[in-house]
Amino acid sequence: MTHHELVKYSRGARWFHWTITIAALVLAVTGLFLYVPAFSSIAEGGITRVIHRVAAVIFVAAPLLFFLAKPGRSLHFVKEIFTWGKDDLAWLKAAPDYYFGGDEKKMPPQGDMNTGQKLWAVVAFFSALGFVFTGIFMWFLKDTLPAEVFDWMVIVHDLCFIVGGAMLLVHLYLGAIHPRMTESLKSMIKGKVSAEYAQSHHGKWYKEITAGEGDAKGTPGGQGEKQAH
Amino acid sequence: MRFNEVESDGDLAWLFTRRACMHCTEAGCVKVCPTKAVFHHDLGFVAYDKDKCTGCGYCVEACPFDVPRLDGSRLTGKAKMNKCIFCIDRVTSGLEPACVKTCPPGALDFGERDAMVAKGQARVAELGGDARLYGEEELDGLHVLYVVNHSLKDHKLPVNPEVSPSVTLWQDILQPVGYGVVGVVAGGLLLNYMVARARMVKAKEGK
Repeated sequence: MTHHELVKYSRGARWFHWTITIAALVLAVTGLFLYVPAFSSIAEGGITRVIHRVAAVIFVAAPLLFFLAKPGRSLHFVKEIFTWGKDDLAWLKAAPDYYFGGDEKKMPPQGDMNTGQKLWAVVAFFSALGFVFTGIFMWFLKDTLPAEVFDWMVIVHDLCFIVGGAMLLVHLYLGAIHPRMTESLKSMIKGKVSAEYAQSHHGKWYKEITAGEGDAKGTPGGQGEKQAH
Repeated sequence: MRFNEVESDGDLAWLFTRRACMHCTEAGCVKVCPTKAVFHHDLGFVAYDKDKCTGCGYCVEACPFDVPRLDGSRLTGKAKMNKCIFCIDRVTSGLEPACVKTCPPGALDFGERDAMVAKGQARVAELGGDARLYGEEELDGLHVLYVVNHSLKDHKLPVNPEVSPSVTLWQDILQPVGYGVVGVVAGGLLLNYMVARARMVKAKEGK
């Protein structure tokens, strides 16, 4: 076994990930104060509504800035999360056993993003669009909107929260807690995964980036840098 | 106050309507208020604790009479709602509300609801014609009653005021569904953790 590490996430991708994660968590918590009556006393001064708006600006600005900085990579990412095929069906079949601790050899080799990660990205993508669209109306057009339309904006905002929030819980769990995802959190902090982890969790990706290197060793800053995102 | 000039029998009529909180029994504002800053007082009216207001303005949209108003900054979202508070300090000290006290011709009266309904009905009978008592049945009974002798449209009062279905959907269905979904997901993840860890430990021991 090699002890090399492979670059999984670039510095820019990690900054983007953590910026939007923190913004999303702040938005979720400050939003919950209005959603859950038991917490609502915290929102009484109205300060949580100001914090919610500040976080919302960051939540919108982060992807825009990332897109301006790396338009090609951004588009590639969006294209990748919306590209679904029969490999994804195989993942879906194998996933329940795999995630409940079954034999990992039964899981077909995955690319740099597996089907579950793509699914999460798609849900996050659409719920973010829903949040931003309805949020803009709720923030700036409250006085101009008919009451009925405003109510529906709130309902869609809440729906995005239920779907996106539930998936965020799953994402946090799989990224940081699940016993099998030993290097997931580390890779998003430091950017690298061990070759062993890459082989067992992202076999297809490992093969791609180590192709042509003879002994199948990945080197940080090598081909992995170009293909990882 | 709202001042409506309407034509009536070829003549002009001036209708004055007190345009403040109607203190509904089925109150949209009470239903949507996240902090319960708007609530039903034991006496039946819709009381309001301004300190608890977050300024979300959901009550503004939920009110069938378009009564609550939001004062504050649109940009930061810091705001406070304003509406008639039924002179809570006065009525709980045995005094009538200020509007009743100050109304020069005595067009406003205040008392136990049953007595007011009886008085309104007597006045309606006296006026005859199209006169009716507004607020007796609307939204399970308002705590502000009007004797109206023109059409509700002329008085600019909603014919069948109701808490909008979207408010009901949002408060009575979506919120519980949200708790349910989060509960199921959290429970599922916990179960997954315990099962996955146990099986992985077992697999390791088996090697």
